Amino acid sequence: MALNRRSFLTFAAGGVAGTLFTPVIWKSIDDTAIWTQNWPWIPRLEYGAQAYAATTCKLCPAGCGLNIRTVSGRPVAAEGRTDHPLSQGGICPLGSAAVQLLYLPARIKGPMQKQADGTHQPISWDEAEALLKEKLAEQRGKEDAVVCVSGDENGTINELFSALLGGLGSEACYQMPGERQVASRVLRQGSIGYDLENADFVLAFGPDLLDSWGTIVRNKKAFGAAHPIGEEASAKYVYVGPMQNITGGAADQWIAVAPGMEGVLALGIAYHLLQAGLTAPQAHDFVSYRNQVINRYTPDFVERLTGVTPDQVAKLAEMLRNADRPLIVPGSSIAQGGGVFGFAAALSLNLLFNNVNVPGGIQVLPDLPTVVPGAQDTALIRARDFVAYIQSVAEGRTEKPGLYMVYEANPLFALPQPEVTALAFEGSYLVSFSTFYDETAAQADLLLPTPTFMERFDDVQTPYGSGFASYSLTRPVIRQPIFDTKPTGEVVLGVAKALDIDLGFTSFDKVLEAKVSALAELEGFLVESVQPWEARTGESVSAVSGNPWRTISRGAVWASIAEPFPTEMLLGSTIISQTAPPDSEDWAFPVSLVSMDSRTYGSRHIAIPPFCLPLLHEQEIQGDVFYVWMNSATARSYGLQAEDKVQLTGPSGSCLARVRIFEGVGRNMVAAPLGFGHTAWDKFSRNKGDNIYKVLTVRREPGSNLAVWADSRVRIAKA
Amino acid sequence: MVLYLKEFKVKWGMVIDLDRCTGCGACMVACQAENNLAPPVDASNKRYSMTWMLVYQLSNKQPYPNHDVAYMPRPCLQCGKPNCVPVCPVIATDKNQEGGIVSMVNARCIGCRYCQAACPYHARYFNWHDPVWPEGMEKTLTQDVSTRPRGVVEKCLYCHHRFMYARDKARIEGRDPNALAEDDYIPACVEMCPTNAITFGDLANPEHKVHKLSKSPYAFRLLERLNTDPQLYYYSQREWVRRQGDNFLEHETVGGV
Repeated sequence: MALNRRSFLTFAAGGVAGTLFTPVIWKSIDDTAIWTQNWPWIPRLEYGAQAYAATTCKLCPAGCGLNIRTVSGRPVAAEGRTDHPLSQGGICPLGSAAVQLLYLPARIKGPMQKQADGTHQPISWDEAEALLKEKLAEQRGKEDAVVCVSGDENGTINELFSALLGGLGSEACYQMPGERQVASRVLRQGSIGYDLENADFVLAFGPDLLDSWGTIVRNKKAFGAAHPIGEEASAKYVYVGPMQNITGGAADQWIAVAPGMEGVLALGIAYHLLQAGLTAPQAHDFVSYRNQVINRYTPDFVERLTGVTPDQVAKLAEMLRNADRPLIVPGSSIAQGGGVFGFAAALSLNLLFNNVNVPGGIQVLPDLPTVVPGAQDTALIRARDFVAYIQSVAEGRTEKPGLYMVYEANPLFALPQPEVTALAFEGSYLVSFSTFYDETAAQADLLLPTPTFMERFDDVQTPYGSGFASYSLTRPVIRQPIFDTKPTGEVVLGVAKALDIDLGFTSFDKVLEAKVSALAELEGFLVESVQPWEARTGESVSAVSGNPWRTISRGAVWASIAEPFPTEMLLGSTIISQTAPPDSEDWAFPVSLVSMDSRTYGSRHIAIPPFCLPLLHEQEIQGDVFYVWMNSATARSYGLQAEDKVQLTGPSGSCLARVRIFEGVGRNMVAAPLGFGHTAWDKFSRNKGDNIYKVLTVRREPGSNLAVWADSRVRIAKA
Repeated sequence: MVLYLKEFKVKWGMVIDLDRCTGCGACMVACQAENNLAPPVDASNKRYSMTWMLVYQLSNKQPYPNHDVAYMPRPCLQCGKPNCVPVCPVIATDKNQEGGIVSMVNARCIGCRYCQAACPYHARYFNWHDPVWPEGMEKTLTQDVSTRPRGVVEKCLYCHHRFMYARDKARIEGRDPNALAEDDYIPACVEMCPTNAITFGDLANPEHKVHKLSKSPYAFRLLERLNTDPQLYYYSQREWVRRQGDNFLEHETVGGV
């Protein structure tokens, strides 16, 4: 049979139709798709039993509850905990990125010693602890020759440090700066809490409630609950501050005020309240307060300093008076470096409303009892000014100590004017307990890495900003620490024993157990169905029963709303009169620097985590250059445009950045984020942007003599 | 043009309150951890960085001090009439499961990126490179979402695995897996949000909060006039925010009161 055209076409068509029926083609296409995606270098999922472990976050002082999800014992994700009153199921970006920090390349894998050539070489724990003992023994008996700085505001571990130092003859136990320091100048014993949940009008004079101040997630939960979707808001939030930061943007109203003048505005409001007949007879200094406010903080004067019109001030006063439970929250927009004046001035408004220890008001919260014998009083440590101390050492006014111990802190990066810190540290033996290879660890002579909070026992006592006293435990969620690390509590106990200093405990777990037992001294309850702020409005709670250690170590939260001691409240007229802000122009540094903090940028001792990098938008960082924000009028007056490179120069340092035009910053101000410009750490955070701490300037606040830097000034020029 | 239309009895959807969102980005981080995204060394070039959930900043463009900002989280909008589905030559993405979530089968994707070009919301991302985890960090991978290699497109699936878990749980408990309650199934971003700005549920079920909220005069959808019918609503009482939901001409009014 000849192959003619017709039969050829029939054969071809038949062939095509036939192949459609065989699975070979489809199977091979499918296989190709699968096998071209199945490379050995792409990790595969590992399956196993899923579980949750409840713990408490230690990445910043806010003390949120975290639920760590594990698969076959491997932590895989950090989630919120609905049973934790400080976070109520929510989580911040930093806490959410916690699990990945376990394997951050910047983790210190074991103890190390600095060599003559400046590199760090691994040593064993025995050698490391012997070295620490030897170095501490050298300083023994000399007054304040051993200095300890802790970035953990709420941990019982601070008691171990202060007791160890006490045994060595030193009292030099410090905390990294924060709001507590300023608050301690107003209230010496206990701390100040803010009952946001029960307030129906929240007026914040500076603090970035919704991004970086105090109990961040709890603040956000309170804000969210007060603004239910589709319903009328149950509380109004007003933010007073120089720039429209996160709180300024989200609040119902933002009052733009000249930098550092929040306190003046507060007293301007007090003027109206006093004129309207509000009093605070319970405060002894009411008369002098009243005289000062009425005579000095007149509407015209306040307008000149703050830039807020008399109408607006009067309106704010009226809004406060119309509210049932107004709450006035003082603070600094970066939760550090603010002065006593602004703090006391804003706080005094609460007293005019008789707003102390009542639902929706400010609360006096007790310090939890100390358990380590020989530990210094918490209030004493809190009140010490580390920045002032460092400045004094650097300037030679105070004798340089022989040894610094740094715990969960990064003073060579996160203190204003880090070069001054470097000067103060120079020549002294530096011991770092850091988990990560941060800037301070990079300079340290001895590295004794503590495991991350997911690998150790630790605790969180009442974080600053909380409306109630609380206690919760941090516990290991992984069977074995990943690296050759040792919890600092154990290291301190071990070295104390070697030095024959009796700290009264054999292990850190026992210290925490003692702490839990000591909670019985205070009237408290375990948070179950009733939240502490509900208890404050009268809901009944049952006292702690059973074995508290058992329950608390499994994640339960202890809370107390009891008033610890009768508090004598003063309006702070002396402080206010002595520390009033300077009413002057600075021509050398004409631009106000408004720094910004956010958990997106990490925290004071944690650099920006990898998972937070995508959160930075195009005008926060581009490649290695970060952005500073200014409004178009300011940019124009300095000949700058968006994307231009700009140099920020302070009295002691300078920073390079690009210009972002953001109209939420006032005239002649530049806003800049803290937390960029790391030089140690790893590729995820190193050399990204510049460190704004370099251009912050420390000054002493007249009257209080406190070191302040939140209101720094700079010069800007096109670079 | 959409060549087919499928109606669903259940339409999982979100209503995001832009007046409550503070733009913190906890949702973005939670999403990356939940869905096994690789940690980026540099994420400043947004064309190459992967973020199934992305928070945009909106501005009312008024000078100081009348300036106002809003933050707009943008997962995949799970359109009712998705533009991405009909263009896919290999049916790697589809909308045919009860619930109305636009699927994405990475293993079937051939990387042509038609869907990426078709999506008006930039919700789809392409793997230009193989994902890299620093040594050891691959141990933090969850067991729910496969890792994706270079050359495929990926996107938000409203944490579809959580949907599957919720259905399984309902079956085990003897409930109807097609009639899940509001709290049975919650994506990671919704669960972690510290201000509870995102409400999640079945838009077609009058008992779910989202149903009523989506009909509020303050609710709007992105580029609504493209007729993509997204299963994601935004909510804002601020007129200027709603105005940014579409390319309105000056004389045009937007919904709301």
